Amino acid sequence: MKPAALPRPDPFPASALPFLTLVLLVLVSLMPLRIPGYAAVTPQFALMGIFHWTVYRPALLPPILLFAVGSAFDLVTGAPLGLSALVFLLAKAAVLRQRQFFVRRQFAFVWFGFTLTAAGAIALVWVIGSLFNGVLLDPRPVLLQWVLTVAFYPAVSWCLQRAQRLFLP
Amino acid sequence: MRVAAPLKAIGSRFALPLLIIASAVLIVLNKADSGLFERIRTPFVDAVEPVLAFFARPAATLDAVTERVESAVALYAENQRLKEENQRLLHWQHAARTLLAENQRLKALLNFAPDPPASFVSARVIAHSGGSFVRSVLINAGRVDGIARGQAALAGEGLAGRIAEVGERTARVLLLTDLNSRVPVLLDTSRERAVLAGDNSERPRLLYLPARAEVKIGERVVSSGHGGVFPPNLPVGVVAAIEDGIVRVEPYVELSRLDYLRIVDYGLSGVLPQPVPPKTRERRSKSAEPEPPVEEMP
Repeated sequence: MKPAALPRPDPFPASALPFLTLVLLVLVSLMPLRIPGYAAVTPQFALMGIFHWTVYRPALLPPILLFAVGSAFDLVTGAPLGLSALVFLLAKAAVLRQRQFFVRRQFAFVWFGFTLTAAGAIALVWVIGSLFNGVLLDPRPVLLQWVLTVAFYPAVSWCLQRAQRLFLP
Repeated sequence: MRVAAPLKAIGSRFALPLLIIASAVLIVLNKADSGLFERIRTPFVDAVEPVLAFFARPAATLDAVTERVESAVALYAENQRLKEENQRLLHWQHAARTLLAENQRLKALLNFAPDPPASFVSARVIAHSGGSFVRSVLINAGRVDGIARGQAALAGEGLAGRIAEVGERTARVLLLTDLNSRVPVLLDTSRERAVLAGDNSERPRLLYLPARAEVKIGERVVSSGHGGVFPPNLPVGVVAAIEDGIVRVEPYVELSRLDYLRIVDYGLSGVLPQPVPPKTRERRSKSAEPEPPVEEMP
C-alpha cells in the first residue's frame, strides 16, 4: 500500500480558521504576562480578529460563534456574562455596515477603520463598567488599552493574512 | 429541505440583532443575580483549566528568561545589596529570637489562647482578567486542594487578595485593587483602623479613616482582623500618597507580576455572609467612623 496515493486528510476544515484564530487571540489576552501594569491595559486581541475576519471573510465568523466566544471569555475573566459578546457583536455589526469602504483598500485605511472600531468597543466596555459598578472608572488605563490595541493590530492582521493565504481558498 | 432554506435565511438575517439583545439582557441579569452565573462560571473555568494552564506556561517561561537576564546584569550590585541585607537580617533574627522567647513566656503567664495553626496551598496563576472591569486572577487549585471562599492569598511579602470563587480545580482570587475588594486594615504606627478599598487603580484607597487620624506617607498598613476573614497583622502595603484627603496605599505585592500565590487557611473562613448584602456606599464626608464594616462579598 502506498500512503502517498491516499488523499491527504484535512486536519480541520479551512472555514474554521477564523474561529480557531479568534480562540487563539482570546487565549493570548488571558496569558498572565508579568509585565508591570499590563493586566489593566491588555490589548483587545479578540477585537482585532473580529475586525479582520469581518472585513475579509464575514461569512466565516457568524454571530453565534462571536456570542459563544465572547461568553466564554467573560466566564474566564469574571466580567459580567454578556459583556464581551455584546462588544464583539456590535463591533461586527458596525464593521459590516462599513465593509465596502475597507475591502480592496490600502492597509492604512483599514487600520484607521480599526482605530475607530476599537475606540467604540473599548469606550463601550468602560461605559458599561462604570454603569455596572455605579462609579466612574479611571479612563486613563482605558485610553492606554486603546492605544496598545491599535498598535498591535498591524502585526496581528499580518499573521491572520498569512494564515488566510495559506489555508483559505 | 425546502422549508429549511428560507428559515435558515431568516435565522442568519436576524441572528445578529437578536444575539445583541440577548447579550444586553444577560448583562442586566448579571446585575440582578450574580449567584446564578457563578454556578455556570466555576464549572466552565474548571473545564478549560488545562488549556489556560498550557497557555500560561510560555508566559512563565518568558518571565523566567527575562528575570535571569536581569539578574545576570545586576549580579554584582545585587550581591552587595544582599550582603548588606543579610547583615541587617541577622541582627533582626537575633532580636526576633529574644522577642519570641519573651513573648512565649508572657503568653504562658497570661494563659493566652493561641491562634489556630494555619495551613497553606501554593498555586500557579493561570489567567488574568484584563481590561477596565475586574482585577482578578485564576489559580490552578480548587476545592479538591482545600481552597475555600474567603481564604487569604499571599505572595511573598504580603497580602494579594482573597478567594472569591471556588471550582473543583480552579479558584478566582479577587485582588486588593479590584473595585469590590474591601479589607479591614490597621495603620501600624498610629493604630488607626480603616477599610482598604480597591477602585481598579493600582493603588487602593483607605475608607472610613477617622477625621482626626494623622496618617504619614510610608506608614505600614496591615490587616486588622476585623470581620473575621483575615487574621490580624498580615502585611498589606504602605501609605503611598495623600491627595485631597484620599489616602492611597501601595500594596507590598506587585499585583501585576503574580506567578505563584500561597492560599492560606487560617481556619477563619466561612464568616463571609452568603446572601449578598446591599452594597455599602462610600461616604463622601470624612466623618469619624468608629466601626469598620464587616467585609462583604461583591
